[in-house]
Amino acid sequence: MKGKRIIALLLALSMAFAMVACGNSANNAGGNAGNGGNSGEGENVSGGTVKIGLVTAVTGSNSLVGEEAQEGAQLAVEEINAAGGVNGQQLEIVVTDEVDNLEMSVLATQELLADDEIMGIIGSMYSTYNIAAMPSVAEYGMPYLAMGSSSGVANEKNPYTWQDRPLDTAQGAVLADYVVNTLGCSKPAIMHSTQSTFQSLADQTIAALQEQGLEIPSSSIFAFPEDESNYSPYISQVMDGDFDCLIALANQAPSAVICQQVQAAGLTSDMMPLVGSTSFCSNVCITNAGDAANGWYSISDWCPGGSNDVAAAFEEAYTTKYPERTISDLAAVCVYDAVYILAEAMKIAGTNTDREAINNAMEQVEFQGAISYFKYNEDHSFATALTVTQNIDGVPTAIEAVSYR
Amino acid sequence: MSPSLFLSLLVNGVAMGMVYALLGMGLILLVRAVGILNFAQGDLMMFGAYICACLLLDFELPLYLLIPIAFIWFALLGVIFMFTIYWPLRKATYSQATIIATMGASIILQEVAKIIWGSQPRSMPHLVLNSEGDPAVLQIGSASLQWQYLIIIAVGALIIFLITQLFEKLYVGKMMQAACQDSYAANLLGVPSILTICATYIIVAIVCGICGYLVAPVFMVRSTLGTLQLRAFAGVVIGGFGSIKGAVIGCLLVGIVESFSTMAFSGYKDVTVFLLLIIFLVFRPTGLFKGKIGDKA
Repeated sequence: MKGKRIIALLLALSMAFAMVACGNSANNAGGNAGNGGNSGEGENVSGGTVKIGLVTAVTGSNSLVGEEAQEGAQLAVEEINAAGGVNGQQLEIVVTDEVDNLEMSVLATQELLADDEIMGIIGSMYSTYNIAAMPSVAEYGMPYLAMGSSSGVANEKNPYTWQDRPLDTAQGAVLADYVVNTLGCSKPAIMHSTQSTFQSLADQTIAALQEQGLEIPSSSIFAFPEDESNYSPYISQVMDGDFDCLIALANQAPSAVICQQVQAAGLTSDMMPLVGSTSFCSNVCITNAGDAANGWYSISDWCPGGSNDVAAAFEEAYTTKYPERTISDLAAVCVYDAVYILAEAMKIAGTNTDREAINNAMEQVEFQGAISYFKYNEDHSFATALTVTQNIDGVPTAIEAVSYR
Repeated sequence: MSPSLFLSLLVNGVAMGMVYALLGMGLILLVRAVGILNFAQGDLMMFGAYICACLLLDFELPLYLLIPIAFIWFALLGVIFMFTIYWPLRKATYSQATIIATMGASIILQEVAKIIWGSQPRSMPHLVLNSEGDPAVLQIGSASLQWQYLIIIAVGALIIFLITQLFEKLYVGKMMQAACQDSYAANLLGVPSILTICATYIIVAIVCGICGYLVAPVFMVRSTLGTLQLRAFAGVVIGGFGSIKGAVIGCLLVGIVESFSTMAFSGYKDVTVFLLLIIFLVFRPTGLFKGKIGDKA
């Protein structure tokens, strides 16, 4: 009987451990690396450091994205600290775990908002989570960089929310222009995830294609739930229809599965152009899809190695610091740039303690980032360009950078 | 709809239905054996896929070595699962405790898989490749049918046949079920119920593992692979809870409906499946076939 109780206790403890792991509270992402302590200049916030919060998936099904986000943040913090920090203070990143659901993401954001020492937050990679967290962000008056790319975030017109990625409105327009005017397609099939980011991107793409004069009947749109694994029925319909192009909009892991299932179904880029969202040139997609990813075009906010000097320097620094990553991915570079944007705003504001002043200074931020040149726009977005890429021999290759404003 | 599209969707639907049927059959076996609905069924499949990927990609084992070694691991997984999730709670005051434990086990299995193999999805080669090393397709007219789906259908049907024979026809299978359902009487007759329950868990884990191996080349090895179990639940309820035959037919129905619903309601594919489930729950709650689950003595 005693043995059984011990086993039951162990089981209960293991379950409790799992639950605690899922609801992991704040933990430091090693933002102290290279921390030389307070230089004595500027206000002393917390032992000589100024804290930036990062909401990302530490556990759960999106933890790969979370790992990359933390790596990007860590790299930026180390670079900034090595260069003397911000207003004389060292940067530190505080990470909270959004697991893989909206509720936890909001709680994780609120946990950071309640911390008086945090002067800016880098939000989730998922627009829905960003939108859900935004009312709390406004309440606390915290500068908040949403990592989602949905125009729905900008449409909320939250004065404290900013975006460093190109918005889906721009992605949709550039994608439609490239598909119609460069690839010469007139009857594209559109496969997309119904996750808010991709639903929004699909809506923008369809609207832009229609502006280009194309008819997009509902029979050419194939929406699938985010947790879909079986894309073959959609691909069969694309092959059976008289489409001349496949546009696929999905997250990273699904994009790899789509590439594989497209290849397995016998659909190749020789038969029709295959065009994807930014995920299709991601490390996750190319590594896992193998040669099935070859030939796919992407209208991407990030092409590893990029199309400017900062992007190339980031790529080299990132792959050197994290040798297990052969190429960088979107989450890493977005968060990397976001840390720089917040640091730049603090420098412009000349303070590490006044959230309102830092938020006001965001409008004056302007510099060359890794994703693109960053410049304030009325919709609170900073990016100014997208990159058209094609996967060639397992390498995402930049074809052209398209400035859209 | 062209005949080739019809054939493609049908094969896809039957293959997916077969995957759900394998998962659903495992559910029924456990319900019959211990009266527990296992919410970690899909995660056992996911873990099986990871084990196969590890043996195939990391240890580069040939198929003739991979199969027996994988089976040993699947069996071990089943035994560990039983002794950590079911056994300590089998006499809990509230029978729901074990069901909740299986939900916890689902989370634990996903996180353990990530700790062992990382969060990166893994790609497995298809079982049949063409001369260029790409997944092979069977061309029937203008329809291109993936060999992997055909293999899923064939292997799935074989496993279902074997399990059905074991539990419905053979004396050993009937004895296992009887002993599981009335362990007191079984123990009086000298049949240790722990062994029969353990054997059932091993069989279920092996079936899930095989299922994982079959779907991995198509869906990649991911910690979220277990979400497929939701459709298996729907299929089991539609077929009739407790009947293996019902579970198989219900799951096949779910797979086929799911596949063809992409034509008209692509964004609402899941809605279509679960609408079908609701219709059955309202108009035929016992499902297509009545189950064989009796009250325990």
